[in-house]
Amino acid sequence: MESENDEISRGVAEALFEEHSRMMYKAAFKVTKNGDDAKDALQTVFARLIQNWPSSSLMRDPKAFLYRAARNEARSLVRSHRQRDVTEIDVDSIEIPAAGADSHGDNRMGRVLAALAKMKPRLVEVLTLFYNEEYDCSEIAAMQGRLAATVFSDLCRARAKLKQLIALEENGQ
Amino acid sequence: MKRNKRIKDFMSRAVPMPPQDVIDRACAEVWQRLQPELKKYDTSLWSLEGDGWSAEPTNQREFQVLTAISQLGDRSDIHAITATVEQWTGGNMIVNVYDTLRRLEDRQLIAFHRTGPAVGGGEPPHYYSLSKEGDRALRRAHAEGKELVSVREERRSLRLFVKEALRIKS
Repeated sequence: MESENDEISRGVAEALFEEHSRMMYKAAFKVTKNGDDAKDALQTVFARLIQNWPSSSLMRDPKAFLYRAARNEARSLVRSHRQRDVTEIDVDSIEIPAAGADSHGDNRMGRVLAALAKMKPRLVEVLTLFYNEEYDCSEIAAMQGRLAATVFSDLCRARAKLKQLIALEENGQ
Repeated sequence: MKRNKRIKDFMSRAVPMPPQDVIDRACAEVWQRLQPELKKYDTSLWSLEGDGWSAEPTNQREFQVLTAISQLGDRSDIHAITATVEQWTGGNMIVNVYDTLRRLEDRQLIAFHRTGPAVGGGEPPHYYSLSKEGDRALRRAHAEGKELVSVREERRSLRLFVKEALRIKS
């Protein structure tokens, strides 16, 4: 009986990982754009969770808590990489591009991507969660700890901006 | 909610994700990396409901009484339990221990049984033992990092010690 009970409880850590790790990995990957860093972020979040069990925020909504934790960890990883790059950079090796030169040239998709990079990260995140991950507005709101109405209006705004960008791309082709 | 296919295609091109099998492999690798960390903790007490534990919570006095019963084993009658708890707290604890034992018994964290002959015509001695839930509650208290002697109790026993020393001196 005891071993049966223990078996059920031991499954909690595994069940939590099994259910949410992929979503967390994707959330981290979107920020870091690097598989190794996404793995590191996922590991750090779970290691911290194991050390500080239980967390009241996790109990309230595990999915939202883990999503935000993975995203924030990924952001801090990116920040620390950026900081390290800045301190390690050799000033003499910096190449300054000539004025008017476009790094993407005629590649319109590249231009749109650059424009997308200029959009607020919050809007890009809503777009990816809605279109790539196929979450609906209420799920996104729960994950981000925001109101569904705010997410919906962000989605509308982001979609309008994106449609402009797509039109730009298609007119160019 | 319907999704515009054109936007969906664009987004999948603009924000590429690794294929599902790569994600699965990455997650499996992270799970393997977490195993040494998981082994350090008693995860069998975890729960995703309530306060995050599948065992009963205990306060400081309950923790001390449960620990005393666990340490004393077969010799855990009320006098032995009280003597053990008094080592940690100082002062006279018989009333507190008796009260705590009743509370723990109501919560089915301990079981009590009479063994042996009656002493001096009175009742036979009562012995206490931890139930399965009591053992889990004790493990939870350890996992939460509870200390047998709290700072307050340490101060109290120091105060009592100084008082006694002054009394002897006078």
